[in-house]
Amino acid sequence: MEQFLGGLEILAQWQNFLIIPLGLAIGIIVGAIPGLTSDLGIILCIPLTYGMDPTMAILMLLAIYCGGTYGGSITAILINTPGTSANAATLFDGYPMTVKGKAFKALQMALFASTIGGLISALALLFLAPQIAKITLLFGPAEYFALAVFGLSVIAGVSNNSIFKGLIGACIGLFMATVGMDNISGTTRFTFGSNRLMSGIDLIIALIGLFAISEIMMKSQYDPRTDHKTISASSITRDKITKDEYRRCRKPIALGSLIGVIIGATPGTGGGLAAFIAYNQTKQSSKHPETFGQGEIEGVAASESANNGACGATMIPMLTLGVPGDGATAILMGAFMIHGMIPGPTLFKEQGNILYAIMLGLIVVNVFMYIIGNVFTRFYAHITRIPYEILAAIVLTFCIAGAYSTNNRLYDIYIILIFGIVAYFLRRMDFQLVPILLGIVLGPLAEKNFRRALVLSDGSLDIFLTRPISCAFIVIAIGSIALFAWRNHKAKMAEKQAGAR
Amino acid sequence: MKKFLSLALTLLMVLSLAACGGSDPKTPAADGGKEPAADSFPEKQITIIMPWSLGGGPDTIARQVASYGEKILGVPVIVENHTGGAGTIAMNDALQAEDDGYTMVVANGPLFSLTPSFVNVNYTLDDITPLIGMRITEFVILTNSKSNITNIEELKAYAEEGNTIKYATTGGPGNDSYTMISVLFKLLDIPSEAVPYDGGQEAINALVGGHVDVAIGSPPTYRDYVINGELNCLGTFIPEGLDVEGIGHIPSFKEQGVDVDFTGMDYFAVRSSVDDAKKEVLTNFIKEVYADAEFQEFMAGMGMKAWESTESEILDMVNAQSEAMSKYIPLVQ
Repeated sequence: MEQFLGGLEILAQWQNFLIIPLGLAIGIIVGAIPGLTSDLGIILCIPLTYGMDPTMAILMLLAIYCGGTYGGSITAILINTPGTSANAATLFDGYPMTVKGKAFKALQMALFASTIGGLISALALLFLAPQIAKITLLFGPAEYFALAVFGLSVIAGVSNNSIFKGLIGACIGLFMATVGMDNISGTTRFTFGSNRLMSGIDLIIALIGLFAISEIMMKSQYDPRTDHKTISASSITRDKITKDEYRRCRKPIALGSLIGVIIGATPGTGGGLAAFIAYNQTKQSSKHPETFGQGEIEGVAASESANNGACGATMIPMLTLGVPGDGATAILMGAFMIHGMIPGPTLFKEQGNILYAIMLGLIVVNVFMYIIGNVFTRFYAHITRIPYEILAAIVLTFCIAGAYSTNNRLYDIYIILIFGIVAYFLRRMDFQLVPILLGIVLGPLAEKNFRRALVLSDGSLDIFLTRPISCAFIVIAIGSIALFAWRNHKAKMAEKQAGAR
Repeated sequence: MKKFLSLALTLLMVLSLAACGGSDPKTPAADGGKEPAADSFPEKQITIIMPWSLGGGPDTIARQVASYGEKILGVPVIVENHTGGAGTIAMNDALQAEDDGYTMVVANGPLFSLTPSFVNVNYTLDDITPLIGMRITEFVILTNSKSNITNIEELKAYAEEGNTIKYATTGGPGNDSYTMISVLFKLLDIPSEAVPYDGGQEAINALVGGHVDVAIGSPPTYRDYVINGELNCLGTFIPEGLDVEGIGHIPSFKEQGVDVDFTGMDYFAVRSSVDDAKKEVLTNFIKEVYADAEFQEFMAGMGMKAWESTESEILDMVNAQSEAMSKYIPLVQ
């Protein structure tokens, strides 16, 4: 309690309330540019924080992190390209909403859901960190593998029109994830002798290629003379979220935030997986799953609350165990060290005051995010008014610059082009891109941990069923696939009966 | 037809944009081909090529050093991460850059002593000149204190009970931690199997969670756990042992009768064909940074100390390491 009050005192300095909006603005901007991630934003701003006191420095970086995770939804909604991998699930309903002319509504919901998710996550960090950390330690290779399988089961939910195309997509993704040096045996796979491919294909590079480049190519059928719709500036922001829509989204946001906290607290997973699982669970428990994917506001609410719900929670294993939850927290951990705080089990004892200030500050960050986001969405919504022939050129430039800046090499630009061309043809054949992305994201997690688990169990597969957490995930995964199969079957039967009559 | 035309145009645009990126402004300023005098060096931005990823130990230190560029050299110093290929990509890029002194690279021992055994490389130690050391990495072998194994003898006894020791490494084959811990178990001649993880924290976490029997770590990842009493140190590869604040002396494996030693090191280097006077300017720059009180405070905050060693010391260490590795690698391949 004493530390809590001490933390409150540190937080109450006026400088903190200036630096948080600045961090958020930077975060939202880098998050909204495909190819620039909050990771990069944090790295670039670390040197700026050298002169600050630790609380202020970390709060600024956290604001970039949270802002970036929210900001990625803006491009996902407006131009069908997730700004960061955490926002990929927002595509499903966010972009269809834009197509229907409800972009502002989708942006507003993304912001609202992100804020609530972020707040719940910050509260979980504040009150439950030590307890959650203990559970995290129970996660061994078997549990991670089971979690990845559970994540892959989402494919059943997101490709219900053609499960086979979904599975083929996931296999393509899994295949892409095998490129590079295999960490367990040390052999190189599918690199064709090229050293450049040895570290595999960067997730962000694959993301730009798959989504952004292919999206621009898909628009090659666009004819500016007839297809461009003129939208009046005043009409864009008129369409606000109704009370009924807020009410409907209560459940998806609660579910999304909860899943976000749980997945976020598991090191090595991150907001992207949380968003997919939350989206899938919301769709499953919905009374009208058929509207998902057609511009359902609940879908945006679920995925955006989940990825920001993961934001604060990724800090739990970092602060208590010294294990970063994802890429951005790994960099944040470096920032903690620079400011004299070595994350790990003794940090709370040694620097409790500052930690409480930071955790309380995270709540402030989320409140500010709502305010700043509201200002930004008003401007961003007008992006839909830019003629596509101009927007495409801008997006392409950003994509290429982003791809280059990831590793400072031209090679990655060729990779995004190859990915873009392949994705274009897959989309023309009615393949969904998300199963491919799931394969790329979860493939390494599943494969590495499967093999680690088998080393530990001396080759016995029993390890996945005898360990309770692992067994539970596998059962949920099977149950969730079975539920979808049953629903699809019922829907088909109903269709047949309707046809017979 | 129109569709295909516009598709083709899109592609053309993409390709031309990609091609534009090819003309890197690396060509030196045209000053009549005359080598600029060293006393005017440096006149433009200096790049440090970093083989390892953003936010890691060497990257953080290099970025901190680079932040002093404007103050000490009067030009910006930037860090570029050229990751991949177990560090060989960065080495190739550094050796392909102009030898005008405007490109530095961060290298380590295993790039020369270990990596060539696993990856085709087209560089040798003769291609670079180490300028000054950066840091020393001390690998320590740890167990979970619940296992009651506190030294090598107890580990052997545990293995003799019929247990295969499962050990967590911070990377796969070709990685220095993987090689060294595998060599240790080969020399101890006890049944064991590696479980490669990605990075030091993951390996330590697997040990703390009780998923593996043994893990390899370097400071500061394990320090708190040892002080807390959750982990035990069995020994270190540093031949003279290691003194860690709060833990005390960690004995070396040499002291415990196992003939294996390894000292990890990172250092700044340039192409060996760079002008000697320029090498000196760069070395003095980093030396000056190391002497800065703020920089020292920064390093202390990270639980590290700058390793201010000279060119010949680094070369001797890399050569000794290469020789040792030529004995070790056949043991684990």
